[in-house]
Formats: sequence, C-alpha cells, structure tokens
Amino acid sequence: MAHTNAFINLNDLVDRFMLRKKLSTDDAVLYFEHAAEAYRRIRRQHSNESVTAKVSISSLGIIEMPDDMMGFINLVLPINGEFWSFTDRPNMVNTTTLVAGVETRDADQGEQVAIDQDQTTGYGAKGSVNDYSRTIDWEARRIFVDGIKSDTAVLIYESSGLNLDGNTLVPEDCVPVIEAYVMWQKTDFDGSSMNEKLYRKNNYEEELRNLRILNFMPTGDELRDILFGTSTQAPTR
Amino acid sequence: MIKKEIRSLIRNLLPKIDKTNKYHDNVIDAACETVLNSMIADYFNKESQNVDQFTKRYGDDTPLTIVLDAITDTYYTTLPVGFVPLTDKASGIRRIFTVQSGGVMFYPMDARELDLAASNSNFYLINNKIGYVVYPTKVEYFSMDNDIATAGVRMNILTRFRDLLDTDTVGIPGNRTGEFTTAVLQYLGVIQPADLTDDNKDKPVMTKQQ
Repeated sequence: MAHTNAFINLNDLVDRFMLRKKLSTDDAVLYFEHAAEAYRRIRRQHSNESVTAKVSISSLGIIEMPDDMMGFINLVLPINGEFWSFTDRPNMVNTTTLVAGVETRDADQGEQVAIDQDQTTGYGAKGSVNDYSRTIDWEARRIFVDGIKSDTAVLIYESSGLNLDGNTLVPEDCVPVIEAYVMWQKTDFDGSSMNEKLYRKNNYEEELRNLRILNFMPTGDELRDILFGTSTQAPTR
Repeated sequence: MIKKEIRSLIRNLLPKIDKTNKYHDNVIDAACETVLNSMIADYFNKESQNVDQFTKRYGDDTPLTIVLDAITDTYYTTLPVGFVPLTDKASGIRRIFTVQSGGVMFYPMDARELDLAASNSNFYLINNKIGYVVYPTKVEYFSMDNDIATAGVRMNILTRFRDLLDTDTVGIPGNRTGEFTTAVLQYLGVIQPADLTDDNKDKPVMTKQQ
C-alpha cells in the first residue's frame, strides 16, 4: 500500500495552498515569499531539525561557518562511536594577525596559544577536563577551537532549510503552520479588516502551538524511561 | 456563434442608412469589441476564476518564440494577437505554459515585483517557477529557464474581438447574446442615416395667379 510522502516541495506547497484556498495566481510571488519566510522561522524557532555536517578545522584552528547556518547547536568529535562535545570557552582569543596580506595567528598576541588546562589526579581532583574547546565569533561567522587543528570535526547546527541547489522539502507537519502564516500575512496587503487580521494571527498561533506540541513533547517511551529512571523496585522504608 | 455570424446578425439588424446599407466590417467589429470587453470585465469582477473559458490557445502547432533581449538581458515573447485588458496582473494573458504542459508553472507578476524580486528574494533564489509581466504587445519573463526558452511556450489569451478569426467561436459571458446584440445596436445607433434631401434650401414662394 502506497502513501503520500511526509515531505512536500515548498514550490508545490504554495500551489496546493492556492488550490485549497481558491486563490488566483495573481499574488503567487508574494505567497511564495511568505511561505519561505514561515519555514525559515519554523526551522529557527519551532523545529527540532538540525543539520549534521563534517567541517574542516584549518591550520589556524578556525572553522568557517556554513552559509546557511542560523544557529549553533554543538561542535563534536567522534570518539569510540559517540560524539563528544567541545567545551564553550567564551574568553578564548579569537583574533588573527595579517602578515603581508596573509592571515596568521601571532602567539605574541596570545593567538592560538594552547589553553592551559591543569590536570591533577588524586583526592579532590576534578572529574574530567575536556581536551577540546571552542568559541564562536558570529560577526566573522567563524568558530575558533583549541586542542585540535588541521583536522575534521562535526558541526551540528540550525539551517535555514531553504535549499539553493534543489528542492526545498518541508515536513507535512509544518504545512498547516505555513498556510496559516501566509493567510495572516495576506491580510496586510489585501485590505482585510482588523478583525480578520486578528483572526488570522490567532489561527497562526494555534497552528504553531500544535506543531510545537508535536515537536517538543516527550514520547511515550521517553516518559516511561523517566519514570523507570527515577523509581526503584526496592521498598521505601 | 462564430465571429462572422455575429457580424452578419448585427449588420442585418441595423436600420438601413442608405440604399446600400454598407457598414464597414471594422466599424461593426469595433462596436462588438467594445461591448464584449465590457461584458467580460464585468464577468471577471464577479467570477475571476472562470474567465479563462473565453480564451483562445496559441502555440499549439508552433510554439510561441521566446527571444532574449541582449541589451536588457530579458527574455520576452511578442504577443501573436491583442488581448482584452483585465484588472489583475495576468490581464488578458490568462495562462502561459510549456510545450509539454507540465512541471514548470508561470506566475503573473507586475513590473515592480519583477524589479524587487530580483534582489535575492526567496522567489528568485529557490523557486522553480517563472514569472511573467504583461505589456500591451509582449510579455517579459523572470527566471526564464534556457531549455524552455529554446522550446518556446503556449498561451491562453483572452483575444480581443477584432483579432479573432471569422470562424472562431465568440464566447459571450453568461450566454447573454441578446443583451450583447442590443448593446452593439445601441452603440451603432448614433450613426444617423445619410441626409439625401436638402430640406434647408429656400423654397420658392408660390403666388396665386389671377
């Protein structure tokens, strides 16, 4: 038995929206603009979708952010079949020095100097010390790392989700939210009354709540794990 | 009814203006076009989705050519006929589609949208649709695909009355042929019969002979 896909191309989504709402193609360009914006918002604020990508760490200990990266989730290294995170160190030196037009890192300026991480053993020692650290420079769209260079790490990030190279596939769960958003935005330019605008806004927010429940509520298995994880079969005395 | 039947009907319903009763075809066509455009516009304002039934398709046998304007770097097609102007962006060019009629859709735009959308809009960056802007004698395309440009397109055009062939069926909105005929006759009714008698000439005064 065949079923329809769980994803729909954003282009088709807009066509289907106009079909459902009995709208002409007169404002199709505007509908598409708003639909794309709605999906970008969902990806940024209301979605649990993320992109996992291998990224190169340069010899200067710098990772260039992907162009579609809107939000940072994690920077990790695969060790023994699991991802281990870099530790966030906001005070890490993240400047560079130009020498004859070539970007370098000058140790005299404190650049790319390995962070001193004392490791002690014995009674009262710290549980563990992470060998790898990172700090994010959003303005330069770079991630500076410590403890590793000229290597590959794995970056987990929030993407705009809007695909420049092919189809932008949208989960069907998001469709009611996107349609409600476009209908709401439509009231800004179609001469709708204030009542209509508020009705559309409320409708959008309601659809958004439904999506967030789907995305962020724990599953039955997760709830059961929590229950079992916090209880014991031993009698309580 | 086909176009020449309508013209014949109007001609035969008109009062004789002289012994020949010869109205030029262009005069009758112009009157029909004026009335029909008005009726289509009224219909469009009430039932915008259904006006497409009055269109005629062009490019079926030979696809309409898409030309690249080297100066403005814009693809365009010169319209094969004139169209009935309507108030939306598509105006009388109700539908444009590829030769295979599938896959890529064409969306109507206005010139302002075309300029703004070119500034890295989502429509420009990630859309696979083609926009088109309607001008009186041509349509310009936005985001035209090279393969489609080579193959050409087909169009459903709300053709104006004078550009219809004599054998083309003329769609009258709501099948109100009677109203249409009456309106055309009223329109042409302002043409007065040729005045063959000079009644203003001084008449000789006749005096009774004794």
